[in-house]
Amino acid sequence: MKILRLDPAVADAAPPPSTSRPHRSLGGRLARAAILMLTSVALVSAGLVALRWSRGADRTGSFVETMEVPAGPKEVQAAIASLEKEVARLAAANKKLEQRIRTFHPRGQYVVIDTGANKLYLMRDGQVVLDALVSTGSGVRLSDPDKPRSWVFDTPRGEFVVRRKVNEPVWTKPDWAFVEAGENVPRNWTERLEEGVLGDYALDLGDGYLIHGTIFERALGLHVTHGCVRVGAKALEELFRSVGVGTKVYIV
Amino acid sequence: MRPGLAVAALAAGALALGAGTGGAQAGPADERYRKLLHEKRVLLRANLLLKHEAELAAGKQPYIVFDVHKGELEFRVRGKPFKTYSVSGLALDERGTPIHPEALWRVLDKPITVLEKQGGRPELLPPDPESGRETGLLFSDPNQLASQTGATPVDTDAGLLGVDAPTDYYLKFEEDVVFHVLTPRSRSFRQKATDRLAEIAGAMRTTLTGWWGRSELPSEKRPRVVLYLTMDPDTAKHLHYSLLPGEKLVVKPPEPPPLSLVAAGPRPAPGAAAASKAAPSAR
Repeated sequence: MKILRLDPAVADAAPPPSTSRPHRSLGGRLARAAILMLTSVALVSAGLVALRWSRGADRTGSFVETMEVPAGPKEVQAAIASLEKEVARLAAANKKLEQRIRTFHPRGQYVVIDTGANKLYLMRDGQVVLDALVSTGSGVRLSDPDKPRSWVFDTPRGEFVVRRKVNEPVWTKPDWAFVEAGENVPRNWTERLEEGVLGDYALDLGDGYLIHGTIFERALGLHVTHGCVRVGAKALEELFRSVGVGTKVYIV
Repeated sequence: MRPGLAVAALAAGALALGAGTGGAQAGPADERYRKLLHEKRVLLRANLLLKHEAELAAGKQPYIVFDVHKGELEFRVRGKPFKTYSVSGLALDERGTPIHPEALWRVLDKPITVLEKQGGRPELLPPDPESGRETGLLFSDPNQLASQTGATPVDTDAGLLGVDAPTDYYLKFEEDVVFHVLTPRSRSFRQKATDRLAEIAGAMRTTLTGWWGRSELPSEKRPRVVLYLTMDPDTAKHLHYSLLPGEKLVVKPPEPPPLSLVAAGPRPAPGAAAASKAAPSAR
């Protein structure tokens, strides 16, 4: 028979383990359930966000391309010879394309109009010889209340040529000028003529677009025109004297 | 030999083979091959841009070359750059998730055409003929223009009014591409938290929708490419004024990505033909 000895000190420190679960209050159970639920939601959310980010990783990640190197030294030499030919051919093709593009470049004297900053530059052999503030198109749309037609007041973009130089230009008002003013469009063309509003000079770029003077010099630097380029009187005079018919104008 | 040692020896052999083709142990012929491959890829990319540009420069219209690496939008006519706008940030979303230039170029390797700019065409309302007669305002009076369009003054001088361009706007392109132009702004903690929560909710919704069998909600037809360009307010306005529908934009190809050479199998590789087959997207 085995005699069990119970040490009183040990018995005080460690009570025998109980097999029954301790009693918990309803509040405690609810709190535990809430914590469990919140943790699950947080984990699922983190997983979803990670999934979402991993989808976009191909646009933000790094790129490495893999290519095969030929097996033996003989094959490598053959590949090098082939590549050398191809590289030389490509370099020649690129040079030819660059030369072709250069043939389009403006040369000598030309005018540049920056519609973003409302600036005009007269260029001569790559140097700025005149720099002026201008007004360009407002970009607004005007619709005729009586007829199904509308106008957009943009300054056209691209390469143009000075077609004509005009001293003391007289403006022949187009239809939109009357529609915009809320007036009836006249049948007689003489009623369309208006003197003095275009300044002392005008450079005709075609399709009704002009580089001309203005009676609204306060508005230089703003996008307020109907498509024409307005220049201050002093700069316009210098420009008019410097450029000839056929001068290229680049509007960007 | 113990099996563990055999596996280690095999692994070491495989590593040595990999290093032999691309690492420091590569011979002069391999190095030359690698250099020529790189040169070819650079030239192919330059060739593609030059071909696009030669076509665009043959016309009289301006076009834009977007250098993603430098963050520059260059306006050119006839191949000559006339003005450049700096982009301070380029991101996939408003939060600023960066985009790799290579990834952008791979989806925009052909010129794209401006279709619409937000706030680009304010309507000008003609005045009533009677009221025009009464006030005596000229059609070209800037005061009248501003009052008609409802534009805000751009200067405290009452006489200097015009149509002001927005600083935050979108640009739509015909090829199902949208650029959002933004100006840098400081967001409060609350705004950041709100954006973050909205983003998490959006991510959950998209993923759950995908799990339910649809990749996107019908009302959420996203464009093919969406980009967020950050620039200072003046640049954003100038860009808005400068762009017109119909203008083309071409993305300048970045440097080709790093090349990893792997040893070919026993069959002989016919040089460049094999290389281009192995990486059809290399340009």
